[in-house]
Amino acid sequence: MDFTKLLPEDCVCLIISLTSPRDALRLALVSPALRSIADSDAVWERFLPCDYQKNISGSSSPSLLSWAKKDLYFYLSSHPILIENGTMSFQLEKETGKKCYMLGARALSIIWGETPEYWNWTDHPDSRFSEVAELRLVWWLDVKGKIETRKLSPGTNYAAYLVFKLRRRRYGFRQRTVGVHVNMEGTTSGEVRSVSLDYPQNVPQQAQERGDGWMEIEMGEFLNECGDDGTVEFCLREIDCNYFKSGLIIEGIEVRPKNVDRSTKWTNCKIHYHSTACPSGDARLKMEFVKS
Amino acid sequence: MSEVDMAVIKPEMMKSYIWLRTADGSIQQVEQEVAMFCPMICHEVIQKGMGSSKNYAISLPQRVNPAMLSLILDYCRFHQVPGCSNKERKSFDERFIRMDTKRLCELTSAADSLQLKPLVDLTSRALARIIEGKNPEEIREIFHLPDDLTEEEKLEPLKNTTDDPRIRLLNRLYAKKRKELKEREKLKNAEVKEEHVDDRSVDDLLSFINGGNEDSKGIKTSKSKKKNRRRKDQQKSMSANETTKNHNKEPNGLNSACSSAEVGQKIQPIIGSTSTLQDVEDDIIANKNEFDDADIDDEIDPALKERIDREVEDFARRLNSDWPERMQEILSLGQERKPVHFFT
Repeated sequence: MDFTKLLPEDCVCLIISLTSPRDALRLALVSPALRSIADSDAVWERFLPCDYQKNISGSSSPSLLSWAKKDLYFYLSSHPILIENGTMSFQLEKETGKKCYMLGARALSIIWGETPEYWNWTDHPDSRFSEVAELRLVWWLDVKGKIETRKLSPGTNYAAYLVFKLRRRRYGFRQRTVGVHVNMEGTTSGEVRSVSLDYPQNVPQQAQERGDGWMEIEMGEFLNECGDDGTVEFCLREIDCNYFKSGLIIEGIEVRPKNVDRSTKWTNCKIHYHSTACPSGDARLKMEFVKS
Repeated sequence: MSEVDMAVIKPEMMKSYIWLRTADGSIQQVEQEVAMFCPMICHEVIQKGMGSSKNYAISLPQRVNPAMLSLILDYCRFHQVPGCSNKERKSFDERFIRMDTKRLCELTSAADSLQLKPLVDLTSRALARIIEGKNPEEIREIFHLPDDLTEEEKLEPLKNTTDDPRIRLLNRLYAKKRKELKEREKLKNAEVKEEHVDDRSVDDLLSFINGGNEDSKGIKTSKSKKKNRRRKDQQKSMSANETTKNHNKEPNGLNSACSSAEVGQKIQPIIGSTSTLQDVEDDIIANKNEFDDADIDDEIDPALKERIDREVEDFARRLNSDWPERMQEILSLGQERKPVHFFT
C-alpha cells in the first residue's frame, strides 16, 4: 500500500520542501505522481530565497519572474544576473539555494580610482560587468567593498573572495603580499590576512583559478545569523609606499557560502517555544522551527 | 445554550470535557484544555457550540482514526501544559515521533485535518529526514511505492539549459536506448519488414535530401562542416560534397533521415511532457541541432557513428546501474565551474 496516498498533497509539498533541491530531483524519479509534486512551483518556490522576486524584478532580466520555479532555480544557480544598475551580480548556490553576490568594481570604493593616471576603467571580454578596474600605477592600494547582511541568506557561513587577474606586466605583487580582511562595519573584528596574489597556482591559501577566466583569493569569512548585523566590509590594502603596484585587474568581490555541507542542516535545527495567550483565555503554544 | 457557555467561559472549572466522535462512530470525551489545543476543535466549540454533550459530539474529519486521535491527544496533553521547559518539550517531541513511516504519514494527515500546525511541522520534518539522502529505489521501498514509471518515461531526455556536454551525451544515450526499445517492440510485434534497400540514383537521393531539408530544421549531413551550425551553409556544402558520399551510405542512415524529415521538427520544452516516442525523438534531434555539432551525422557516416557509439557505450558503462537516477541528480547539480571528475 502506497503510504504517500495517506498524505494530502500540500503535506507532501511541505515535506519535500524540507529536504533539499537534490532530494527533490531524486523524488521526481520515484513515481509519476511524486514527480508532479516534486517539480511543482509550490516546492521549488521554497528553495528559492524568500526575497528572490525583489532581486529579479530589479535586475537586468525581469522576465525570469514568469518562469517555472524549478527552471528559475537552476537558471539562477548557473547564471548570475545583474542587479543594482549593473554594478552587482546575484545568483544562487546550487546545493542549498543560498544567495551569492558579486560586487562589481564599480560598486567598490577604490582610493584614487577616479584618477585616470592611476586606475583605468575599461570593459573586458571575460567580465560579467560592463566595466572592470585596471590598475595602471599606485603606491597606495586600497579597495573596499561592503554589503548589508540583510541581503544575505540567514544562518549561513559566508566568505568573501577578491576576483581579479594580473596582467603579464605587473609590478609589486610577485613574491609580495597584500593585506585583506573582512569585518562588521564599525568593529575591527576581522583578522587581517597577508595573502599573495601572484604566486604559483593551487597552493593552498593562495589565489585559485575560478574557471571563468578570473582568479580569486579568499579575503575572510563571517557568519550571517539573522541578517541584522548591519553591514559587513571587505578590504584589500597594500599601502607600503616604498614600491609601486601595477597591473592588477579587478572584476569585483564575490560573497558566497563557504563549506556548504548538507549534513549540518538538521543538527543545527533549533526549536523555539513561545507561550502566547489566545483570545479564549487558554494558553496556546506556538512552536517555531528555526533552521540554522 | 447555557451548557455550552459554561463549558467554554469558565476555565477554572475542574473537569470539563469535550465530546468527540471519530469517523468509525466511536465517541469519547476528552479534557477541555487538551482538546481545545487543536484549532479545528476549538473552532467547532466556539463558533458552533458543539462538543458539550454526547449528542452534540464534534465529528472529527475522516482522516482521524481512534489510534491517531489518541496520539494527537497525547501530544496536546503534554504541550498545553504551560510550565514545561523548551528542553523538555524538545525531548518529548523526539521520543514522540519514533514510529514507523506509515504511522508518521497517517499522523501527519490527521494533524493536518485538525489544523494542528506544530504537529504537522514536527512529523513533516521527521519524514523529510527519512527521505533525505536516499535514492529513488530506497524511497520506493520505504513508502511501498510501485515502480510505475514506464521504460519510456525513464528514458525521457533531460533539459539542457546550460549546454552541458554530459547532458548531451546522456540524452544521446537515452535516444539510443529508446530506439533499441522501439526495435525490440517491433520485433515483438512479429512483423519483420525487409530492410529497405536503397538503390535510387544519385540525383534522386540528392533531390530527396534537398527537398527534405526544406521541411526539417537542420539535418546535417555535412561532415566537413561539423562545426558550422547554419543551415544555409549545410545546404550549399551538401549539394557540393555529398553526392558521391550519399549513395554509398547505409540504407539505415537514410531511413532515419527519412523518418526525421517526414515527421517534421518542432522544438518543445521537454520536461513533464507526455509526448509520444516519435515526438520525443524529434525533440531530441531538434535540441541536438541547437547545441550540437555532428548529430544526425552519426547516423549517416559509419566511421563517425562508430566513434560516437564507442563514446556513448563507454559513458553507459561508467554509469553502472545507477542511471537514470544518479544521472539526473549529478548532471543537474554537478559542478559548473571546473571540470571535475565525473562521479562523486
